[in-house]
Amino acid sequence: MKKNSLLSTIYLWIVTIILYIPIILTVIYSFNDNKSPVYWTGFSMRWYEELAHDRSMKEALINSLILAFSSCGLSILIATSAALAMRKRESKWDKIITYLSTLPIMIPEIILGMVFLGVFSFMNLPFGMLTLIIAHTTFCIPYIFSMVKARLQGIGTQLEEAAYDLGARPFRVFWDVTLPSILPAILSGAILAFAMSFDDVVISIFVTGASTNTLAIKIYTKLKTGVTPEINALATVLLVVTIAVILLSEITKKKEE
Amino acid sequence: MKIKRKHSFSALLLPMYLFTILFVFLPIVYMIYISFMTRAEVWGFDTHVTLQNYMRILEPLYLDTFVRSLKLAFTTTVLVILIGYPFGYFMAKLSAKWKARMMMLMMIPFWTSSLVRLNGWVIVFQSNGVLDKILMGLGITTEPLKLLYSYPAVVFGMIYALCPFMILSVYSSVEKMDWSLLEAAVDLGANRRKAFFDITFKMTMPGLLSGVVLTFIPSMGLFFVADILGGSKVVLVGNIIQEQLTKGRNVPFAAALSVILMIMTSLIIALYRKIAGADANISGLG
Amino acid sequence: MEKAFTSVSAFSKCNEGRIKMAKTVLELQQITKSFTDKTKQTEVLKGIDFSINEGEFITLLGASGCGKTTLLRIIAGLESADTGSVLLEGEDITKKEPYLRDVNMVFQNYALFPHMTVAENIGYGLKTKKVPKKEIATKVQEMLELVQLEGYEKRMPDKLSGGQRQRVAIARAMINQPKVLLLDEPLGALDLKLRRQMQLELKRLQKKLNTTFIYITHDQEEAINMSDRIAVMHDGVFEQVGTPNEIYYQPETSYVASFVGNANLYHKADAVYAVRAESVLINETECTLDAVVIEKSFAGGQLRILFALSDGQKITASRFGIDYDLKVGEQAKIGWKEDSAVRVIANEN
Repeated sequence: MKKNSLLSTIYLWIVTIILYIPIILTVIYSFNDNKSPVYWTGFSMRWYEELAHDRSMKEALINSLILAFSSCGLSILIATSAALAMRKRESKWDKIITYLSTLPIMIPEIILGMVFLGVFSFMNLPFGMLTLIIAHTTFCIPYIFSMVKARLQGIGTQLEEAAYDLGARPFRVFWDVTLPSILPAILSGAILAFAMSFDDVVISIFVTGASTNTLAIKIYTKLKTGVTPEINALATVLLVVTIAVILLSEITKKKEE
Repeated sequence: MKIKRKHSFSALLLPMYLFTILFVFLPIVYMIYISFMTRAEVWGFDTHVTLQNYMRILEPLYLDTFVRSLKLAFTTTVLVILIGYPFGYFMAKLSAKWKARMMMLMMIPFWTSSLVRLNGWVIVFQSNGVLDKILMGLGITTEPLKLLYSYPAVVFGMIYALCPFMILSVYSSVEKMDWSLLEAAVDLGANRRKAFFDITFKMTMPGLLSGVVLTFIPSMGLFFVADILGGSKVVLVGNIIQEQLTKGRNVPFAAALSVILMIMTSLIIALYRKIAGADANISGLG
Repeated sequence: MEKAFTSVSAFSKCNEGRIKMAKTVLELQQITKSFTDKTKQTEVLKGIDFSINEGEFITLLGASGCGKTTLLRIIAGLESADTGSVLLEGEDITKKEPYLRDVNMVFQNYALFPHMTVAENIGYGLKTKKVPKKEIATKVQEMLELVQLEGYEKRMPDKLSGGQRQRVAIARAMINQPKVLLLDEPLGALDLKLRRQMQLELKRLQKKLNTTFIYITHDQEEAINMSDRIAVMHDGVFEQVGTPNEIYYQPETSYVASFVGNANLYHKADAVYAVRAESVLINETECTLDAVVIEKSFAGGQLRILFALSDGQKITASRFGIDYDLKVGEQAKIGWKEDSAVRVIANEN
């Protein structure tokens, strides 16, 4: 096939640069001495200092991590076991449940927030980490489930049958053959789910309690109340961590090759 | 080879069934139920069945909001197609090395808080902000454009937030394209443009459609984009639902609004399934 | 060209005569092509000169990677040659866009448009030429009849068997009445029985429509069965071009001899001779070479006996039937009639 023309390459770069403009500005203005981004009054680390001393921010970060890890972990267990169990059966109920389980990522987030708000009050669940984890798990499941399901369809059953034929017990077969082949799918689903959970504002706002803040909620409320360069500093720190993690995983991937 | 697995396997299904029924299915049913109830004095609702909430949506104030939201979602989607489709297409035609690099470039913003990224645009669009300074510095404009807190700013923010989904969705379907089909069309006498519309475009339709779903549906509910870039000037269905739940404390009315929004969403998804085939999945993320 | 013996059959002579009278439809002049991959540059075609006559069935025969598909794609215009030119009926089409060339291709995996019905697939070429709908419908019907797929017009390609897809692919290309039809291993995906049947059918179609076919395959049987002429390709060059008889009985190079029909290569002094397995005699009066049986195997209706000569060279003999009263390890005398050994040019490999 013909390679891209110069024009299309330019297009790709322009859109990519636009995609990065707000990120770059955020990084630049995190070093701005002035509170308002309208004026640049010199380089300063004061927002990083402020961030380092902001205990509520630290708390929110820890909450976000707890939330993302628990809902991802829970989703991995639920989605993977279901995908495995549904694999070799034809059941109408399985199809219905699969369809229902994808609703949380199909309907607008605000509806999901509304739905959870209603049902958690009805169940009398205390709003806080528990309700957050339940809500986030519902929208993490479909990401992991769809990836694992696709992977299972892709690998077929031959390898496992070969393992059975060679005398392996069901658990050994799962551990030695099935799990290694679906692990990449679980991981990429979980990474996506993690990102979604970490970034979610809309649903979290409705299901969190007064005392439990996540980082995303904290950012939202700060942004709504006015310009806060501390957020820019926070975003820069998170960005550096993200890029470091991505680069690290790329390097390990290259080494494995 | 048959392996005994019947009961052990249904035990594995239990968590998924329980979780989905308890936290997805029943809550939605419950929301529909609430939407027919009467508002209580302080918070919650009284169990008086009424159609009042649905009647209220027909009031011009709310009806207009629905129409405006739909219009915004439609505008956003069209623009996202125009920007995202070529991008996904060109990206899929890069060399393997550049594809991986581009993919990484696309993923990094995903990991940055979408709120922070929107705030970056606040810095740009602000009166006397970066854009105004550049334009005025170049002598193109003489006074601040006042772009922030306007309808175009909200549309821009929506496009910015949702375009990556379209790009990834189109990319994954172009990536799967069998290029020999395009060669066959060219060989049979179709010029490049005709071959593109007859073959490539039609073959990547599922990706485009799932991108449309991934753009259109969220754009009706992303209240924070309207919040941050539109100030209080642009009010969407999402904003009303949020307002009714927080300030208005009218849960049944918020539920009724949600039900209508959900029906609209389901119609779009049903339409998508009809066009793209019964077992089509929203593939942008898969 | 140095040849020890010649045995041109009457058939191939008369064939040659016919071809010489026909007019040239396609001419390739000094075609070269190389691909650059990272730092390595591979020369895929090293100067191909060739001309093809109207109504001829030409097969490009060669192992995978010999450049035959690239050559076909250059003729179709899907790939451009580095140097050299392609002439179609005297007109230089080297720079012409593929959609403007009167050449059509049957793709290796058929490349049927999955979102179009059989009839839409077949009619696509005419549609691009803005032929009226009615006329397209009539022509499509004719083609369906020709490839024996009447009644399948509304089917989608994924609801067809391999053989049926194949026929649709051929009909889709043939309906445009191309001056040359290019076929890239079109039978490769079919099973053996169906392949045989399709070989005959293709040949019948070609004769009936009198279209020029350029056919790619790596299967020497297929090439011998169908072709008027075979071009054996190896490493970017034509090793030998000739009728199936010439290729089979008078290989010019050791590569041709061993690739087409697996002939023995017998080295004597500085010369190399090609001897076909069925021509190797065992324990007869002509036999002068001492040999030991080292292996016996049964394949394709023939028993193949592998001998080791005293100087270490290996020679295979073949016999019909499954048994021959020589056991592994037994001594024997082998040899061949003088005229069944053909002197060939030794390739490097």
